[in-house]
Amino acid sequence: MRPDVALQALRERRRSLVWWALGVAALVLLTVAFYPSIRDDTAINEYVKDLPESLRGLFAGGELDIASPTGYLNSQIYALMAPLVFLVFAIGAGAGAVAGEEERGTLDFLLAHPLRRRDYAVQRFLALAALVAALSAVLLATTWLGSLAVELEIGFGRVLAATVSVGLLAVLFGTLALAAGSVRSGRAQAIAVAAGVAVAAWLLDGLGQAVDFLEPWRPLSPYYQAIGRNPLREGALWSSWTLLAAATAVLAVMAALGLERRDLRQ
Amino acid sequence: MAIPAIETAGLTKFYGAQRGIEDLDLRVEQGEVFGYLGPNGAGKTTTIRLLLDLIRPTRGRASIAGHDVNAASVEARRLTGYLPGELKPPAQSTAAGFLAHLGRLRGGVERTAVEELAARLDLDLGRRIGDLSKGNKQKVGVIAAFMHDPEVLILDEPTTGLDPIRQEDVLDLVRERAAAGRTVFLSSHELDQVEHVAGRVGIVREGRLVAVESIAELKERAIRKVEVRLAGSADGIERLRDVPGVESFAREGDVVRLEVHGSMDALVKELATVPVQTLTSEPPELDEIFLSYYGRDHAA
Repeated sequence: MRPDVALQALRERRRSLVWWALGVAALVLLTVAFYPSIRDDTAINEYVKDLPESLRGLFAGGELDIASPTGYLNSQIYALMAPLVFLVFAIGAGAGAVAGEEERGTLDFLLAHPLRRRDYAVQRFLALAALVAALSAVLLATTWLGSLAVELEIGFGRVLAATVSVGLLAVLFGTLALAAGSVRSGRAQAIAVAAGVAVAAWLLDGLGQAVDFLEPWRPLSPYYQAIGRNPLREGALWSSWTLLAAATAVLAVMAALGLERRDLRQ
Repeated sequence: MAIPAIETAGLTKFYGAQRGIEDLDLRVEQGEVFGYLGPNGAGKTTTIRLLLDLIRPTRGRASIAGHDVNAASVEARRLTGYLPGELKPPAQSTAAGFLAHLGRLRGGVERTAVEELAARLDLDLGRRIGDLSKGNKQKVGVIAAFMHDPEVLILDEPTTGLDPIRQEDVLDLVRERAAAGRTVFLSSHELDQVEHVAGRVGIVREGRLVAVESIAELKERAIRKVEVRLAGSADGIERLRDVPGVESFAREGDVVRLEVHGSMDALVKELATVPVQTLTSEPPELDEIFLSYYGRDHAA
């Protein structure tokens, strides 16, 4: 199998990737630039401590000390903003790869060429993973360089671990959107499925920190596995990453089989 | 016996309860130009999409050059060139970039082949597809279908959206490939679009193949509407009624409307004896051909 479909997908997304990269870089650098102004501000921690635990879980990564380097980066970037941006990017790309091409009427003609449908789906998955990897590299580089510039002390290994987590989470939900659009046509529906599951996963992880009866279910949330376990503090999360990668692989296979067996829309 | 270029057996596709095509048995020989005629919605595009494995049959099977279109779909499509009725290529690519991508999917296509076709069709390959007119987008599709010189060309309404000169270019291409032994399967809702290139035609109507005929036989059966505007007194115009081939005759003042079956030779010779202001003849409508084929009572 020659990677023509994957390469073409990357070519077509090249320009949009540049804009997303600029957006991520701006978000990270602006956020990091504010760190010196709150580093010595103890009042802000008092404020955070007064928040209900569930809100802190949902919106601040459960951090109590957001003036610390880890607490700041986690609560301001890695716990919510970066996953949010990455998920929007990946779900859009995943839903566009099959369902979007089908709605624009381009998939039909492409698959009238000597190209296996499952190869098409797998190559679009690989292109999605490559796009997210590129965006992850931007997140990693800007966070690390920004941190150096404002003397926000955090190890490179831990920034790398948190970035890997965000990337894997995005690829998982992007692949879910790809699979949803492959099994049944409809771009809006594919986005809705992936976004719905992502929000549920985020709620389960965030609320699970505060609500007793949800707590035992937290590990079921991909959000917990990637973000809730706090890779920024804990470093590499090999077991969680393996789980996320395995779930992604299952969805990629579903996408390939789903596209293989159904009728295409004109 | 040689392997047919296209063969279907009991090929049937239902969309839920709606019939796309039913029990299609078709055999198109290698080197043949086969016209596939029918009104819009008759099942032509459904048939073509089944042949390309874009949709799956409810029952029955089809093969291209002996390759089953489902079980050996990649092999079947490798031998095929396809032009959809309305091509929607990606807007952001250039024509050249898109065609290069399609060429790579086919394992590489000579760039000169693309350039020659573009020159013949007068298409600027460097332009962004999104900026092209509908007709120019269609040219991109024509190039994509012909550039690898496929064994079997499947063209769905290939001349729609093209101006008459370009339509003729495409039909010339069809003739050339046919002369080189390629097979062409050409769908259209108008007989006039295929009659000068096709040897045989199949007529589909409401999901069923109702006739397969040579073009010559079909034309013999065709009924043309003729309108004659008389220039002066037309004594004895009534005798047109009895000219061989004239099926019906109606007169309103200076205007005479006729329906003519088969050759118009006898009518034209008879008209030479009366003063004629204008003479117009409409191309036969497919439905009319169908009616003539089955008789009015049967079809109604």
